[in-house]
Amino acid sequence: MTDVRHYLQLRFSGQVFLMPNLPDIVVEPRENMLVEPKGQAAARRSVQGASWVAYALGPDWTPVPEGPWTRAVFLGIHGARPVGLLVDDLKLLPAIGLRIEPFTPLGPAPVPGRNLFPGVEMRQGNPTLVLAADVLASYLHALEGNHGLGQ
Amino acid sequence: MALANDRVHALLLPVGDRYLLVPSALVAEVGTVEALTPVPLSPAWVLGVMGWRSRPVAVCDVGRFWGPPAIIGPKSRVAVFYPLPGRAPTEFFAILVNAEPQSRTIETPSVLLTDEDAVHPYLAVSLDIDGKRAGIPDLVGLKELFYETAAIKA
Repeated sequence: MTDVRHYLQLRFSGQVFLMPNLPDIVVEPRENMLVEPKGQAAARRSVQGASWVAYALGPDWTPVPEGPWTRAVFLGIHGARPVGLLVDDLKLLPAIGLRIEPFTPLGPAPVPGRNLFPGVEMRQGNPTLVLAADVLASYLHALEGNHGLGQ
Repeated sequence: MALANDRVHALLLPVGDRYLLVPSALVAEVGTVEALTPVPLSPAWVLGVMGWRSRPVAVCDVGRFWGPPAIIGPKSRVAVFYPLPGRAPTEFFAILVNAEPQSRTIETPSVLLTDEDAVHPYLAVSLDIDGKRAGIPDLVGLKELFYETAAIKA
């Protein structure tokens, strides 16, 4: 796993996750977002003529049209197609206070051949899944095309 | 038909409507069910991940392959298994069991093979042990189920 100084603690779909705070991630508050009235994406943001879409996920990780989200976490902002995840709450945690252990989920991978949850944080009470940002971006991109990833 | 081998130290794990017979050497520990964190997008037989000796361990309900889904109750336990052959040394996994397992030294005359194993995809052999319906898990099949389509390791 990439050595990072901070992790984002994300709360969405009724669960808390961690994700490395990488340089190609940017967080936008809800007031900077345009809510989408239709389609899979729940919101979007215009950036230099481009439209960055963001998804709100339900408990089964399928897109939901609306929710109590407060921020959009955009992934891969230095790439051709940034994509966002809408989260209810977000905190920045120093990596030094965390203990991330490697993890291999059992069963078919939601993004074929790639591990969406390559780690679990073990120090903060209950185990907290750690998201791989690039794999999460692939999952969200697949929602856009509804290519049948996930279960 | 009698099992053609001699003595094996084993555990009888109550799983679903029968027992799993496994060599004791495969099981690292049997303990209580700790708080389970759901793993999104996992199959229904994955109950979640728990902390065990500071490690994350996925807990699964294999009993649902030959019976109804498990219900976690006060007597429920988890049997933590050592990683399957060929897997990373950190890849312990756990199977939910109905209650404390029974320790047995299995000897040839006490074990009879039955002919119902073809019905259950993750049982290599079905057995009658002192009148108890039991099965030996198909570890190769379980390994394929667990990891065949999981992430490719770097």
